[in-house]
Amino acid sequence: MAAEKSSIKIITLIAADGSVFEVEPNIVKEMKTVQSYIDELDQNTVSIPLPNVFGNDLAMIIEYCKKHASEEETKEAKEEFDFEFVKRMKSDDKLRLLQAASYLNMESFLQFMAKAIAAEIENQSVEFVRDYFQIESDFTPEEEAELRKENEWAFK
Amino acid sequence: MEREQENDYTDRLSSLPDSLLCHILSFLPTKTSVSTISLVSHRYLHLWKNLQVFDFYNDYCPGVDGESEHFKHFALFVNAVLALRHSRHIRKMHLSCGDSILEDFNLISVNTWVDAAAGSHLEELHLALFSSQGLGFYLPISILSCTNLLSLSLCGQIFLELEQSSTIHLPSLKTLQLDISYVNANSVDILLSGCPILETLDLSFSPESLAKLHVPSSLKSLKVIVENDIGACLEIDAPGLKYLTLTKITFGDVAAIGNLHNVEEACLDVFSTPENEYVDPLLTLLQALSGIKHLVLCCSTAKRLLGAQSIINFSNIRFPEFCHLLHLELILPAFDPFLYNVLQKCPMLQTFIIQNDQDKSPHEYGLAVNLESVPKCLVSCLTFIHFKGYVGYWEEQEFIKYVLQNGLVLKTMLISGVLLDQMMKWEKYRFLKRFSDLPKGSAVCKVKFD
Repeated sequence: MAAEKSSIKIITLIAADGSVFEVEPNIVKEMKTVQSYIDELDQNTVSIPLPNVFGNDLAMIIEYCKKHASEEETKEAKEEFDFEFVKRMKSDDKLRLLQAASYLNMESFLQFMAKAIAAEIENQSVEFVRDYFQIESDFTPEEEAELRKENEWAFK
Repeated sequence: MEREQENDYTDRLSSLPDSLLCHILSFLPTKTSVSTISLVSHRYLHLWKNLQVFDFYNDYCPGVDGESEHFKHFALFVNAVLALRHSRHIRKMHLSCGDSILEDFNLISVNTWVDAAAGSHLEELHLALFSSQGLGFYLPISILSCTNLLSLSLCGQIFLELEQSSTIHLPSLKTLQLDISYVNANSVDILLSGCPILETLDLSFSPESLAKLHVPSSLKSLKVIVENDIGACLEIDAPGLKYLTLTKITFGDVAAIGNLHNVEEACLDVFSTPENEYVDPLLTLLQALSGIKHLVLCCSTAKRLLGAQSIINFSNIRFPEFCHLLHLELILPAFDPFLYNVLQKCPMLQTFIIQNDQDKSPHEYGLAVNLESVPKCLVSCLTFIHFKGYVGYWEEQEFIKYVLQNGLVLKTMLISGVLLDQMMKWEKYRFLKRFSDLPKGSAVCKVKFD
């Protein structure tokens, strides 16, 4: 069984928009959804469709995985990479990548994205958070006033 | 088509499932989740109640009136959150309070919250209590038998008093940070004995008497800082250890150190006590670290080393050869020709930082330093030297001259010191010129002043 697994050389990932990515097996280890798919098969080449992930996002995720799977990179270099990786993303990108991470069942990447999003909405106003998540308020001003009064302990 | 895709995105965003939203909330202060996020929309109103991760902090600025009122509001908030949550399990709790006085009410409240967190679901507890006066907090002993606790951090006015008979059972604990005022080394030792798989230990404390600490053999990173002059005596046997930082630590006997061959980085501030002024345990420690890549030797360590020898018998002491060392930082009480010998013991050295700690005249030694051969690192790999605390003694100048002449691959020789700060511009220029004009072994070498 172990021998069969190690014979897989290249894994082909197909994104929602049809774009194709060829990666080495160690890159997808972090993607548990993909890994469990591979574990069930005993073929030399595998191609896996990922209908919930767009090509651009998958490219970014693979870039992240490659950096973090590398044994040559130092801890500092990885932290520097993470910093720059988050810096070049818009809020939409982060939310999409969060969902992709959840779908692919990537524990540490999911945590990384959730942290990055939390850092952006910390210390911000309610309006900012609504904009961020693209949500319309469904509270009337009266309702909101009532809430604040009822839960005075929370708003002191 | 593009329009459609955009709509698709928007739909996907607004339908971010609760589990993912809660995951995001778990990285926010609980106050934000409860009082900001809850007002986003009806759907967000009760999200926080599913939290299993809490981060409470009392952001009070000491010195302002109404302090006890302020803590009461904080206590009301924490109590309400803990009472109204739906999930009964707490996975992580961060709690920090900075009050100028710790009164009974504060201590009882904190005790209740910590007790509420204790249990088999707790993975992380970070507790920081700071006050300038008043009582200290006794850690509920229930915390020390949370079987799934991975990370524990205690900072500030916290008492930890343990006895041999205390039940310490932390079979999952990997990270322990202790930075507390009132603890004796014996209690720390008892605590450590209950942490069989600990990997990271960050310890900063003021012991009441010199006592022995045995660190778990599973450790990968060890940082011990003793904050008073009493110090602590350490016994290490950790084959997996990679990072080691010791401040105000001593070693009783040679047998106390073993298995440090995997350490890559160390910073050593190891002192001698009157009962224990022999250099042997320190040399044993250095020998055990001979595979190291990055080493910082603090002033106390150098003093203990230098106290035991003079230039004449350097070859007699068993100063180890560091065959893999790339970066060395040496803090000396004053310039010492010992530097030449150290260079000879580090054949792969790339970066060498020297610091004179005090404005003391250097050890006197003869006119010429008698080295059998030029240190190997100077010939083949040493590219950067920083001489800090340069005073201007003849011996220091000679050393700089020597490394400039013999450093065949040297790129930068950086010099900084008190004297240089006080110099006039033109004096500095002359000074720089004098060093720059010296014959150099490396064509690309630049002499710079900080």
